[in-house]
Amino acid sequence: MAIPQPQSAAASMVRAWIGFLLLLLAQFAVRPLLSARASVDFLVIAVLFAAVRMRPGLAALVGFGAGIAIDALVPSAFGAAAVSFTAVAFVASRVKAVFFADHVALTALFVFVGKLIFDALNTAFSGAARGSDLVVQLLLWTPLSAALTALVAVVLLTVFRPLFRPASG
Amino acid sequence: MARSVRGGGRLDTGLLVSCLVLSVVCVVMPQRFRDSIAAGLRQTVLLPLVVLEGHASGVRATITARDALLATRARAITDTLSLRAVTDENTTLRRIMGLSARLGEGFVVAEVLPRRSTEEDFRMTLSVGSRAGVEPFAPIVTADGLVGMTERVDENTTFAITWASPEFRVSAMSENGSVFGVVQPHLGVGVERLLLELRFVPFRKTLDSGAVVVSSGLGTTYPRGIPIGTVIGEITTSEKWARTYLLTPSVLPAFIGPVIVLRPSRGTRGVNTIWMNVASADSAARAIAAAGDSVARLSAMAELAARRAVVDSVLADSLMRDRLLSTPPTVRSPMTRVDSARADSGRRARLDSMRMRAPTVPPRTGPPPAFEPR
Repeated sequence: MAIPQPQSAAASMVRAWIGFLLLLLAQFAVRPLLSARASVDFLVIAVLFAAVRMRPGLAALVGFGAGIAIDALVPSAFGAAAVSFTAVAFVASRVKAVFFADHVALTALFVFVGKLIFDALNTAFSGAARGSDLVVQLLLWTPLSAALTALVAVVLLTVFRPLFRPASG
Repeated sequence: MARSVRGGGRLDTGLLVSCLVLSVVCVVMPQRFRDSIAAGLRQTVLLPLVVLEGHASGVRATITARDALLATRARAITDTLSLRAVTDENTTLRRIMGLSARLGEGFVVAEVLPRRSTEEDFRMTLSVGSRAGVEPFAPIVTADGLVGMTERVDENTTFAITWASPEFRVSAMSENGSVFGVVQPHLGVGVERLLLELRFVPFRKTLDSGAVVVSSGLGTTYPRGIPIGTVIGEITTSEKWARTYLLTPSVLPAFIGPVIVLRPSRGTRGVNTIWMNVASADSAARAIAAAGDSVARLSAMAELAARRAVVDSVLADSLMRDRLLSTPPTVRSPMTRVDSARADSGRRARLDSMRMRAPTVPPRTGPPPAFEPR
């Protein structure tokens, strides 16, 4: 009877980074094809999936890098995504023990809340929306986008389990 | 162990604070610094991602543009088809107008109503009835030839059969009148159902393929000279004492548009020359088509003006001739006859020429006079 071998930390980290890079590529290669008001945010998934495998400080650093990358493409709100991703990644890494059990519904909730917080912070720091636009953005488009992102995260976690499943133990 | 955890916690907090401070600095720094940093990142480490995003956006734009392109292409095809239909309809109408012009009077132009689902293939309904002068058993024709015959006539509607009806019969002959027979539908299957047969042709008479068959005028319905079909070839039947020929109908079902119903009075006067002279039919159609063209209309007006000028000059000459016949000129020069051909010659030259032509018999323009035995 075959006994499943525990994954080594290095192999898990390598797979995690491959998964992160694939999601980063999807953010820039797939997301433009699905351009809509409520779209999937692959980078949020990448940062959250990476954050649960890292120490909070490193997760904050990864989040900061991802945020700067996004900000560089939207210079008018430079720094907003960096602040948002840093905070979301740090918090995600802190609460990983609570949320990121091997449970689909919890994973979906984790990504959904992470995306909501990221969008709320990003909208607040960038100042892109004001008044009724801000309300519509936060109450309509952000939840829709978060739900879509959570759905895709669950699908990815199911299909590419070896890449995105956190190391046991 | 606890010390290690505390150290790790401090490191995490330090990294978090550092990242947050850097982020806030990015937010509050002047715009030009932000732009320069963003541009530097886009042109270095983020360049592959920027290129990738550009390609993806291009793919999306291509997909979106393809939808628009397909929609545009579909619209263009629809427009082209409708244009073709309009052109075909115009051609048909012009030919009908040409036929109407040649017929003169004694006919009714009718539109074929759309076929109802229960209607048989070889029947049709016309948009006119007895109120317009349509009578039962009147021939229906187009510019190409015979279509069928009216059967029942209401006040505003006429029900008719086409040549494809099994009941259709017409006495026919070759174009030169040497071969006679009876045309009826060829009751074959498939495409052959849309052919005609010329039956009861005397065995000693033959027809070449391509020969045009027209109505012979024998009987009361179809006047002589309406094209019915073109000979494809002879077919063998059980009737060994007569020949049977297969014909292509002059009017194919797909090309039946507006039609003309001949009234009995028109049939009595004959339609011999209406379809016989193809050249005149074509020229008439061309003339009608050209009449719609403004350029052609202008040139026609110019030609009309020129003709009017010629008529006026001839009229003036004839008036002068009447005056001069009573008072002959005193001087006559042989050269003036040559000059008389020029419109700008002197009055005297024209008078001389008139005198030279006056005794001659005017050219005959009408039909030859009937022979009258003395």
